[in-house]
Amino acid sequence: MTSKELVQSKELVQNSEIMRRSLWMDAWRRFKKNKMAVCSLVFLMILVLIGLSTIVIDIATDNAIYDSLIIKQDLTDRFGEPSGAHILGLDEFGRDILLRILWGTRYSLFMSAAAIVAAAMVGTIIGAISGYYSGIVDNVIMRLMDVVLALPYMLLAIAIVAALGPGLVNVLISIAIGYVPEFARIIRASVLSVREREFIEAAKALGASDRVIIFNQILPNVLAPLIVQITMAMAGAILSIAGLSFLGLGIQPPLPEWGAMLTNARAYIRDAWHITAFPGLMILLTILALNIVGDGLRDALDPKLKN
Amino acid sequence: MDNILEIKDLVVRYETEDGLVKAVNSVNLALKQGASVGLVGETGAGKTTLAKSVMRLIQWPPGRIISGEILFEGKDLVSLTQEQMYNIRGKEISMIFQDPMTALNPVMTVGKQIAEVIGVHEAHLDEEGTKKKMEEMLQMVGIDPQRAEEYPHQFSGGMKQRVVIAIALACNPKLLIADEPTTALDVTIQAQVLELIRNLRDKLGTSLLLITHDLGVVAQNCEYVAIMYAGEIVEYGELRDVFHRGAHPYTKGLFDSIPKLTEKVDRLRPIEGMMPDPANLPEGCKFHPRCQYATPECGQVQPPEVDLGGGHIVRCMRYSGGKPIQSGE
Amino acid sequence: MYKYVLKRLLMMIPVLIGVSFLVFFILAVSPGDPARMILGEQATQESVDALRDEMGLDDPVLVRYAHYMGDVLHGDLGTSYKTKLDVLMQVLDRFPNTLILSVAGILVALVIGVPIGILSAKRQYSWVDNLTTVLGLVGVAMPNFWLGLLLVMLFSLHLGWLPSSGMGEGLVPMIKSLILPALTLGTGCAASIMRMTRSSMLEAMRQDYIDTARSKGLKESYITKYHMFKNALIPIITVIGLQFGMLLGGAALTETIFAWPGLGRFMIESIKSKDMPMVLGSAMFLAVMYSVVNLIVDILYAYADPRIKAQYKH
Repeated sequence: MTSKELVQSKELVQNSEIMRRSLWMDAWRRFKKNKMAVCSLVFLMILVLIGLSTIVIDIATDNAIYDSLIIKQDLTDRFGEPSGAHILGLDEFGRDILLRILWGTRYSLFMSAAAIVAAAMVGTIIGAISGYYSGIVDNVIMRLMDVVLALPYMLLAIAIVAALGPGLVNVLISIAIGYVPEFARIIRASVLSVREREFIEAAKALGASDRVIIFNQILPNVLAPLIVQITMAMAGAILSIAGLSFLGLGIQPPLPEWGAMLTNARAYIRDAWHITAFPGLMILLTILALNIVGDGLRDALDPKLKN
Repeated sequence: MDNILEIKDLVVRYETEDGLVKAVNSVNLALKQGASVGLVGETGAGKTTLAKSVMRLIQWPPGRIISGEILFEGKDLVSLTQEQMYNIRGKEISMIFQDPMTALNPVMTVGKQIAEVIGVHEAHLDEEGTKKKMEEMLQMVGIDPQRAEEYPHQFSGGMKQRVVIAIALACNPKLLIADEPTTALDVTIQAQVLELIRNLRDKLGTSLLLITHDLGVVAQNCEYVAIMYAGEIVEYGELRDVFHRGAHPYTKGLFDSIPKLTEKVDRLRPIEGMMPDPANLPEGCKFHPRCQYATPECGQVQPPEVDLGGGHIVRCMRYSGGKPIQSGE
Repeated sequence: MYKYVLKRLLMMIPVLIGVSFLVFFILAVSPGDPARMILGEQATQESVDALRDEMGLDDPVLVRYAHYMGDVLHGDLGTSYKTKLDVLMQVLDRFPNTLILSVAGILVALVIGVPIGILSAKRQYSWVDNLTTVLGLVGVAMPNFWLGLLLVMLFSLHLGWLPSSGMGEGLVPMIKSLILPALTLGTGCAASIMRMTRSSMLEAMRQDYIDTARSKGLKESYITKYHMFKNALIPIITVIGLQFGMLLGGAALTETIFAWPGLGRFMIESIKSKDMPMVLGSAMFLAVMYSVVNLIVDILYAYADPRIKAQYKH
């Protein structure tokens, strides 16, 4: 390689980085224009803050508040209607529904995030390997992914929980496994399309190793579809966690997971509407916000797709 | 009234997120009965918008005809309702679109796509008669009628364009609008398709509005030429007037930017600069930022249409007194 | 076309093997000793070991899978640990109910989703479009078990129009008892189908061949039906197929809320009573049904799109 070509290669690699940076700035500018998406993002950020503060409170008070207000039953005051003292009312064991919803944020939001981030990481590695090396590796991996995708998502999750038993970590695993193939597919497709582009050639010409190329050049370029997919998948994960818990296969009572809070609601549906209404509303709003943010991100990151 | 089509002061705008796109700006254009006019201009000059306006195919949102008249045999198409347009489209006026690859419905047989237009406009024909007419049309454009049951993906690009032509001419329209009918095709196929249009026109006496950016195509197929730039017709006249005595600096630029066989030219002279963004057009003459003859006045005043004689019309300040200003060229 | 169907059928075999192995693997390696489950806590270790040996539980997973599949091919899905009933009979007993519910759910989804999606696309940016876009977003985000609870509250408890649980005997009571579960199951799908219908209609509307169709003088309603919708149909079929599969697999929640005697609820109950042959049999059956639905979708797809059909002509 002549020195001139070397300089050109370096420029190409640098240009790809500069373009990437301005892409994110443009995307943010477009995203800001979408009022619904911004509101949804603010809502999600408030939820994150609530989730974090309740964890901090529990650590600081050594679970005193958690034990006395969230878990402890007070059978003298069951099914209390919403009132000034208890804005969302009391549940079938006399616990404040609002507090339980706030404390439940950690399960719905953080657990789904953990499951999806795990799925995204595994899926990204699998997809990147598959797309970058292609050939027989690719074929074997993608057929395996097809098999996982050939199972209805909820059925897979139920089967895994049935095998591992209910509980926090098992639910997390069961959710994560189902989402791996989707991430692997997206990453693989993106890697395939990016792989042939000029700046990858340039990086190769500069002597970068496969690993360096995958992590430094290819992955930053597939970040946009990845983030959109993470947002959307989190919405699905929240729904699945809540569904599994509702069936009694997920997070077990008395933990204040939103779906688990609805487990008994069916039995008391005649006695107290608010036991059913508010936890479900919270699930709905959170998923709605995630979907809107996901849509907004997709439109902002890839304006061509918008119709 | 010997004009089959007369466009008067037509203004078409698109309202998009990025702003108001002034696609067609007070265009005047007349087409004589049985004649053919070539509408020439760069991509984005507003040619297709103009053609779609005549068919009333501009969809709101984002586009609409703001003002002006489109007189077809004396009646103003702009004021017609959509229902009234159903009887014009395909029967009185037909259109051939740019890209035969995308102009046909991929999930409908080509036979059915031709039969559809016959079915709506020739109510006296029964199913059998429609089918017979459809097969005649296929024959006429040189396709084996047995292929009627096939789908567009089974045809080559040139064959697809023949199908499109068969659709357009199935009901003997009085006016045919062809929007770059050959741009997407190979050169050899281009010639075939143009010849087909020419022959059918001779046979049926159809008037033609041919949109192209290829001056050679115009020279072979048209009696009149209109040069379009940034949504305006800057020059209009008979073929030889425009080709040999082109008056507008843009027209001259266009001719200078194509190679000539008869002259030895060392370098082609492309027109400097770019066509302005139709969402952000300059004041005054739209061409003045690229014009070598531009004066300060050109940036302020919209040049009027000036008749240089014999219907040779130009929009340029250099002729605003009716007299061409001699350049040092 | 036969060749296409045949090819798809052949292509399904490896998928079925993969899916059944995955399900078997997940459920067979689960902690807990089936032999101990059957014999109970009081049984001696020797008898448990003997049963383990007899059941082949100490064999490698692949061998166990081969045995299991051999039995499955002979129509033997095993017997319940708990009730000693034949699993296949139990599954076949419940599955029709799940199928009825899923079909009703997808019908609800189609009836709501497709027309609204078309209307919304045809009137893009109008108030109708904005309203349906919001409703679509809410519908997709709606946890269906929660919707089920709300519907019970409104239609069963408050208005008293419809039963809140069980499956009615006789046609009219059966249909009455089907309405709420079908609505519950169908709403989320309706939203997905609506969104897909809208976006693929918008995509079809943008195509050049729509201009060609308009320039022929065809009526707008005709163009909507035969030019736009026929093209938009292809992605819509995909979504319908996907959704139908999800209904089959996800009916467990709805069936639980409405005490609908379907396979999903049966599977959940079997999980809770740790009756592994029942769980395995149900999951296997649902997975296979899901693959069959996908196959049907692929075939419908070819009918809707001549380009795909053509690939398999030879």
